[in-house]
Formats: sequence, C-alpha cells, structure tokens
Amino acid sequence: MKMKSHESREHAMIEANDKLCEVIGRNIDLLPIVFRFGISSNLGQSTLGEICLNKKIDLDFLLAVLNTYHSSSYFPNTDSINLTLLTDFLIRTHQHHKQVTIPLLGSLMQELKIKLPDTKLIITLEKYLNDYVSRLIEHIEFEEKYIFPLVGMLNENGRRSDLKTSSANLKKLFGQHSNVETEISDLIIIILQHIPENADIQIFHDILHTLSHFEKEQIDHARFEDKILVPRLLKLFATKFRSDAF
Amino acid sequence: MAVYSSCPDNNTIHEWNDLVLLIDTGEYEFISKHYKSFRRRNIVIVGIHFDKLPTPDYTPFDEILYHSDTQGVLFNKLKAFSNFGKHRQPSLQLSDRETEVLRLVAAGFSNKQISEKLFISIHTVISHRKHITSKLGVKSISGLTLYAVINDLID
Repeated sequence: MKMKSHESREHAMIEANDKLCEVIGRNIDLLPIVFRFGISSNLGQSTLGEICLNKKIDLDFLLAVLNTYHSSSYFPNTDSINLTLLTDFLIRTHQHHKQVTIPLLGSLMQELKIKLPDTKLIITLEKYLNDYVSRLIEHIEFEEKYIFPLVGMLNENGRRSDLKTSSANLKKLFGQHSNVETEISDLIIIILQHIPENADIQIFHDILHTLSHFEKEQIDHARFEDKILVPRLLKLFATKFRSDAF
Repeated sequence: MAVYSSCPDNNTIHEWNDLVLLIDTGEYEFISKHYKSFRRRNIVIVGIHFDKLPTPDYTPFDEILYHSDTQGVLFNKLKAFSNFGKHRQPSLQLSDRETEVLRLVAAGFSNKQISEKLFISIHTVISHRKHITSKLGVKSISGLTLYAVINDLID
C-alpha cells in the first residue's frame, strides 16, 4: 500500500507487496472477504503476492476484489476479470450471507424480542426482516440456478436454444439489486426513527451495525454482478450469436 | 401565500404546507375545523375582518387585518410574515393528503388506482410520493408499508 498521510493510507490501492495483516488492520471489513479465498490462518508477515503463490490463488483477481470492497471509487478492469473465479467468489459470498449474516440477524432479533416482548415495533420489524430474507434467498437461488451456470455454458459452447432461454433470465436480473439494497437502507432508517425511549441501545446498535455491513456487502456484491458479470455475459452472448450466424 | 374570501374545498387544503393563509374572519368555523391540521403543517392563519364588529378575545387567527387599519399598521402586520418560510426547514410531518397516499401505497394500490380513488392526477400522486420519500427517508414500497404499520396507518 503506497503510504503518504494517514488519510491517503486509508484509501490507497491495495497492492501485491502489501502485508495482508496490515491491509486487514486498516480495513477490518476485508477479513470476511479474504476468508472467502480460503485465507484464514497464520497471516504472519506474508505479502498478498506470497500468500497467493503459496495457496495458488489468482493474485490479480484477489487484488481486484479487495480493492473493489476497499474503495467505492475503485473499479477493476472489467475485461480482465476471470468469470469462473468471479462466479465462485459470488457463490461463496452467498454462502456467507446464508450461513453467517442471516443467522446473526435472526439471533439479534430474538434477543430484541426477549428484551421488548410483544411490542408491535419488534413484531413488525421481525416480519419485515423475514420477508426480506425470503426474497433475498429467492434472488440468490435464481442467480445460482440461471445466471452463474451461463459462464460454463458459454465457455463450453452450450446449445443455442438453452442459451436463448438464459439470455431472458439475464435481463430479468437487471433492477433486482437496487430493490434488495434499498430495502435494507429503509429498514435501517425506520429502526433509527423508532427506537423506543429507555430501550437497550446496545442491541439496537448491534442490529444497525450488522444491517449496515450487510447493506455495504450487498452494494459491492451487486457492483460485481451488474458492472462486470452481466455486461461480460451479454457481450459473450452477442459474440456467440453473431459467430453462429456465419 | 394563499388568499381566500370563502372556504376552499378539501382537495385544495390537503395540498397546503408552510404557507400564510389569508381568509375572511367570517370563515371562523372552517378554520376551527381544520385548526389542528393547519398547525401541524405550519400554516399561518391571517384573518381579514371587513365589518366593524368587534372580534372575540380568542380567535384561531395568528393575526387579523382590519378594514380600519391604517396603511402603516397593515404594512407592519404583513411585514411580519414576509420572511415566513425563507429560513426554516420545510415541515417533515406528512400532510393529511400525503398520509392518505402513503396508506394506499402501503395497502398495495398502484399510482393509477390511487389517482382514481382520490380524484387526483397520476402526476399529483407521484409528487406526493416524492414528498413522502423525502420526508421519511424511505424509498421502497416494503419500507413504506413497514413505516405505515408501525405508525398505525394500516393494520
């Protein structure tokens, strides 16, 4: 990480020669991201380049992902991203949502229900959250069933009829993300507006903190899908159908 | 500023927020009926008194302009309202009409259905929805529904 002042260090690009422990030290939110690459122990003094070499991880892809999550102003070179690696990473992110974030939110809501039993606010919030999670799971399943397999189908010269059906699904994906993100940010605002007097602030803080992380993850996740995956797939479709015509 | 010599209709008054209402003091009942709603929406109520009858000690008017007022008195009374609204934040409370629109949005009605139910244009519905979103900070339909349920606007 090229360093000048504290502030520029915070926003500096992450590079191959940076020590992973220092990168995480400056932005702890990147820890769950590196876990998704199978990097989870003995960070020691190793640089990102050394870790990737040892663990056979694609360094360019790791840097592109870390920088995208680290800085909202950074955007990787779309054409250089390996789509198979990207879909693997997106699936691992889905797993993180399903196995970590959603259960955490559920247990925080249960804790809140114990502290404020039978209040309309909590019952309504819980219902909203449950409905949201159901829609999110449905969205995740749609992507994993219909969108991500397209990468393999296009690479393996899938059947033209299958690909045509799939291109319609790709178009359906557009616009879905903005709803998913907006609903979380609305929930945060509504909770902030309705925290009851004399309530246990810590539990509300924990819920808001978790929701805020979740929202940020969703936005970054959607950037990968809307700005890289979908345009690249559409481009591959166009090339495929043009070449088939000849 | 809105100027009326007789009662405006209900559709008109639902559009009001942050304004000075000039109205005949004879419309005392109309003002009393909507008094709370006007207060909630930052409406300054100024009565225009045309006859020479004395006005009661208590009136719902913030100021009364008398036929007998001299030019200087009238000038000073009106001057007090000349900066109204310029240095203040717009009301963050939903107006009665916005609340009604929110209730219908939360109940699942489309803009077209809402416009038909309230006898207003779709553009007006969209404008109300923009104000609702801006005042509440909530954008999605499910978020607006959550807000409406928590605040007892719908069951």
